[in-house]
Amino acid sequence: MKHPQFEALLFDIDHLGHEERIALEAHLRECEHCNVLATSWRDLEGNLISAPKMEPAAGFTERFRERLVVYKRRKQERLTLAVILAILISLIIVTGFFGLELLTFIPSVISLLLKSINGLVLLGGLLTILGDFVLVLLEGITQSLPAGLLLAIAAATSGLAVIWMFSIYRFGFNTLRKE
Amino acid sequence: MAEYQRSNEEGLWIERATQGDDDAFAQIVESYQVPVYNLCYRMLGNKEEAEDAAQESFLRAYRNLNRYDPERKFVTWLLSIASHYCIDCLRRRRLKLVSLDDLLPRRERGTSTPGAEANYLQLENAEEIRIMLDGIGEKDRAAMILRYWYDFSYEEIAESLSLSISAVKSRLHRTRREMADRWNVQNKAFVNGGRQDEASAI
Ligand SMILES: [Zn+2]
Repeated sequence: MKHPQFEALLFDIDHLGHEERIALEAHLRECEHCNVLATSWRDLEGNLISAPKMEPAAGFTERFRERLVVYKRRKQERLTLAVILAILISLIIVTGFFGLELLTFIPSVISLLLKSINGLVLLGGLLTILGDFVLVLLEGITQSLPAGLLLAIAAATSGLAVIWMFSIYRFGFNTLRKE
Repeated sequence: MAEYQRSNEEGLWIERATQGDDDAFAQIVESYQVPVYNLCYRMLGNKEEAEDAAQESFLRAYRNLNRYDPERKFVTWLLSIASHYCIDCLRRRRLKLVSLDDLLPRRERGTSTPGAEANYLQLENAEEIRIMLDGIGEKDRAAMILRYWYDFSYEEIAESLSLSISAVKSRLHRTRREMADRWNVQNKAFVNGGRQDEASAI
């Protein structure tokens, strides 16, 4: 065996066979270079192995829990941001693809809106007229009929309404039960 | 790795943590904080960075828990995550020079303390060990630490650092040689003449 081969053995003493051990010991008695290297390594290795185990400051797990909370919050924020971005990007893509069609569509949308508003105004006017008519009718009835009769009619109407609602409720309930 | 044998409890914590139980994961952190922190400290050489790296390693483990293979030893997997994180930290650190002091030879900063002659063979404090590990490549340093502080086999080191077993062997050999040389140079001033008589100690 030659010098570099002994060097290789030197750093792997734990894995040496009996004969390799004897050969190395014989070489170390003759070769000063390997001898110095061997003693240096032996001292250093001993120091490495016996070095104390370093421990973190107390409360390591609590600090980890805090870090975990921050991590989860940030993850949630990133997720929200990603959803918003995705929506925005989809909107941009849709606008890009159908932009021209949308532009031609806009005037018809506006005219439709105007028509709808016009219709709503007309409906409002109609309802006002109907309200006025009902008011006049009620005033006429209350003036021509005596108060006692009015009360009796009101009581009878309420009673009929209650019976009607009750029958609807019972009917609906029975239908549900059958289903 | 006899010190960190898997217990039934550990298996249960991992299972529960995988299902989203943060308290179970906190138990894992509580159990493994020392080995993970110690590895980070040996890799990075100071408390602040070690704390941050250890915390970050646990967070990475938390995020990747569903990728953990139960066939593997959990602590090996955890230390592998911490090793990779520290290797990245050291690479980033290498790219930014902090001060001119970093350019001074290590020997001038490490030794020459009063009474050094009396116990020059003792690397008593963490700072001196840090100096010995300083200047060694990131992966080589991780391999040395896993070998000497965690008693990892060559196979476990290879698995943890994504290297082949032969690469681990050659890296470890090269690093031991480099460190022994440095150690030798460091103490040359005190060593007069040969020390043939010590050879028989091996
Ligand atoms: Zn030799």
